[in-house]
Amino acid sequence: MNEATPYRVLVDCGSTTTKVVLVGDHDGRFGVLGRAEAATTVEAPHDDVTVGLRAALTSLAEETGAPLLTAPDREGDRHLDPHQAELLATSSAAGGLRMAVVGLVRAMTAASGERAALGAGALVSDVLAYSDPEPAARQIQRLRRGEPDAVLLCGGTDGGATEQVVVLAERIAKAELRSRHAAAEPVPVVYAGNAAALAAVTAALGAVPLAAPNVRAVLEHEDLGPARERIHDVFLHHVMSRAPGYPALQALCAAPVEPTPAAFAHALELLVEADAGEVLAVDIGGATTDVYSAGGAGVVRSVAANLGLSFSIGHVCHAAGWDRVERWLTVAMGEQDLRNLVRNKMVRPTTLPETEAELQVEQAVVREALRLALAQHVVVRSDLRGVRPDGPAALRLGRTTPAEGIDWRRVTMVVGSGGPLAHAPQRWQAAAMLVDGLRPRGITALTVDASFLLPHVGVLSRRHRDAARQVLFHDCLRPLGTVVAPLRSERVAVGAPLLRWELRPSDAGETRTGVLRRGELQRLPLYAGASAALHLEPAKGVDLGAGRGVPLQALVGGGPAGVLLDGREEDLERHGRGVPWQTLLQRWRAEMEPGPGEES
Amino acid sequence: MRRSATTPDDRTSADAAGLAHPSVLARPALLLRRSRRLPIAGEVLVSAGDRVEPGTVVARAAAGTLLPVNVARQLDVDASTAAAAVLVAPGAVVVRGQPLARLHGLAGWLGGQCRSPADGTVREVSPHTGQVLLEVASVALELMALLGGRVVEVAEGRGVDIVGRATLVQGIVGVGGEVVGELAAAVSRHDAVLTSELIGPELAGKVVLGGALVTGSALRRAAAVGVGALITGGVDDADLAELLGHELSVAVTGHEVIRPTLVVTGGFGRVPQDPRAFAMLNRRLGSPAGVRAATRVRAGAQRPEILVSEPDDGGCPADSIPAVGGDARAGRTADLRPGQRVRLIGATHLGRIGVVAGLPPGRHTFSGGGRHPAVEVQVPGGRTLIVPRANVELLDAPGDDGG
Repeated sequence: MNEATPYRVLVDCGSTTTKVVLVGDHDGRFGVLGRAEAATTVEAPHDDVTVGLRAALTSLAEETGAPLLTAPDREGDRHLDPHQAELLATSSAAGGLRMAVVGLVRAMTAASGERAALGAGALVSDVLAYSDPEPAARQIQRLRRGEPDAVLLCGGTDGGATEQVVVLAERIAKAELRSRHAAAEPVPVVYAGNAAALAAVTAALGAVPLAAPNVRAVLEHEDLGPARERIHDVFLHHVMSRAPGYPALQALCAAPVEPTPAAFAHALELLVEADAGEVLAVDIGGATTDVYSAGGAGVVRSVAANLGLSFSIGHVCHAAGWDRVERWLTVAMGEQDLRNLVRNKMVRPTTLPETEAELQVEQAVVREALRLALAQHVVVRSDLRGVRPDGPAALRLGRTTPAEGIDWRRVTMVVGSGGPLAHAPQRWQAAAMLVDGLRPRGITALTVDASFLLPHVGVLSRRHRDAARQVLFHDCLRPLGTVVAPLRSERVAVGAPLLRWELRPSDAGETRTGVLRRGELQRLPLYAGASAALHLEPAKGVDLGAGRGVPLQALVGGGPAGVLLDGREEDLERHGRGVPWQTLLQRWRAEMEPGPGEES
Repeated sequence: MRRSATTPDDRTSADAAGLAHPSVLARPALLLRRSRRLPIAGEVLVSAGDRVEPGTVVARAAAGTLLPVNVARQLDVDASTAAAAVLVAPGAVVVRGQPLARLHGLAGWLGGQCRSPADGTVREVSPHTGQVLLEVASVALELMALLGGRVVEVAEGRGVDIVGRATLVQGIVGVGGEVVGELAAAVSRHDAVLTSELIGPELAGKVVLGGALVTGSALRRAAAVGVGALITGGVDDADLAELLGHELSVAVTGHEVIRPTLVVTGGFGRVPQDPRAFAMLNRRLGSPAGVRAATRVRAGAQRPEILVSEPDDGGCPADSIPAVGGDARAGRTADLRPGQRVRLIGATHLGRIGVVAGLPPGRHTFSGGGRHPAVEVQVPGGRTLIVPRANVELLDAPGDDGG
């Protein structure tokens, strides 16, 4: 590909839509010049993803006027002109890479395998362990039902357990898994377990697995990188290359096609570089909610399977409890109507909310999905089981402190992505969902990827880091505001002062002061693009991130949500014992909503 | 009524198209090709060219529970010693108590036996672990044709492709196994409520056409009577959960062992059926109907369907089959145009059927604050509703009303 092409075309092939973004010179900086989309065409009658891509590129060329395409060929088709544009692509089409993880002990090698698969951008269809009290037949049935594109087999430290690993290999063989992309082809197995057992595992599988260094060569040491690379190879060669038209797509691209979640993670790495803090990002999809923690040690990703807002919206409500979803509604709706509404969304996932009631239901489910997904993320981030607290080994993941929950002192930004957040009718609603669902503590900037650009930015960053950075900050992220909440405040009675605050806008606007009481929510207007110096004096026993009772100063950014001072309980379930819950809900909603004339 | 105990595993271009694009198909006398495949290797019972009926068993397999016997652990020896001690080979039929492995000790000392814990068939003997894999409690899986017609292709050990002509009505979600039975009606109107009093023992084994809603008591009555399958416009989620024994968390179905099988054509709540589809089925009462309830609402989508086969396909040769997918894929919202018949599928107007009256440009602000491309739909009574374009599905169903 010609490095000097004036344009970059960034493609994301989703399950239903292929989106293309044109980036190039935009008033002296690198920016988005136009966007288009077309239906993804991996299924009949087209069976070729490049058909949808060509349709999208044609729309893009028409919309922008950019000379992206060649003259029509003999069949009348026009193609991307490689002298004009470089193509970079991400894909989650055909459901991405579905992977079953099989390990020896659930909390050890199986958990490491799951982390490896998630980190590689896979959707983990199931996790099975030899240690599970479950008959072999049931495990074989689960493997089949999960319809994985690949299996990751882990287990046994190097030179350790062999027999049990071979038993697992035999179960995998017994499942007779066949590729959903090439019916007669067996599903590939990545083996990242006991190196000494490789020959026996190969014999048991009846096929040569793709071998990678053991994810737990010794119990105290987790090495996921090589397994992730192998999984990525599987994605490219056994899923992407089999999906109709993908070899042709890859031939058009200047770099290997990336799984969408991996590209998303690359974009977060740019944010971390610029911000020097940790970033927590959530991506709410139709079937899953992905949560990413990005910091100096890299990106940890978890996928809350079946916690999405369309295909698996029913599961969110079941897992959270219908009463928890109903609690977020200020409109009257009986449980039967709520259940029918949710189920209809599940079977017709592309429908949109029309009324206030329907919107509230959707946003209520978002809150619960975020809460549940974050709880799962914490588990994925947790300390490695099997590591002695006084053990001498370092944790190769780079974490040197246990991660019990999220260390909000280090998180400086929350990024929301996905339809319900990006397309909330009013931006402050997106902030409200993030704050209510994730319950951030300390001082945290809130942003949203309003245009689904993060995967595009991520894939662009692999070849043009500076250009990607410009697109990220100018076109991709939209500031929602800042939220401030104490990390600890248990010694303060409800209704008593939590902190005194002073907000001094950077544009020499009026300085405001006030007091936040425990249980209260306050919104300080500060528009997007503006910043202010925030001085906080916590009450004795209140920790805002610098220690109990220690004052804090920070430069905070504005947005439709302004600066939210959140004195509510971290677990909102604890409210409603005195003042009725509905009264509080109405009060919080009224407080968060911008006033007339304010940016919303 | 015949029940097929297998996991359905066939897809057609019409299926994939029916979900990837929001349209629902209801067609009389449609020439179809259906692939019927066993989930595991088995035996195909028919040949290419054979005429089959919907209830014909075209293939079968034996599925058993696999029981691993850890010989090494029972004999307290290592894996290689255990493997050498095994007495049986794959394919051997054993009975409970029969020795599977024996160690020869020294003058009777340090020997031992490992006995079979159950009756079954030896499926595998692992040379690596010394485990013996027994298949016990074998269950016969029978794959029915579901579509009456001719066998045009045989996939050895797996199944067949069948071509035949049938009335096809797609649903939106279904639960339960495959069923073949005589089509009968329990209500006379597409918007009627099916209550328990309308279900009698004469409906046992049949595929029963309901109306806009089937009540929980009607579902219980249908199960008690032995109804094979129920077709309904709507069902309340709580009643479906009671039928299933659990909540339907994601719309991936077809594995449920329940009675009756249920196909929902409209959605959750009280949702009148499409009067044209209802009339099509009414015209075929008394004919054998094949019901496949399996649903998959994701990539590789699949919708439930009812097939009421024509008695004779007229000997239509396989290579004259038109591409059914071309018609079924007419339902993309991008193809919306005035005069098209649509069903409203958003929560506010779910189930109402009308005609596209206009496609206003730009975006419309709805009462919830969202701004979306809109469509104007004229409904019976003359009223025009404005809804998001994403909240309609095309109804591909010819009718006598000129639509």
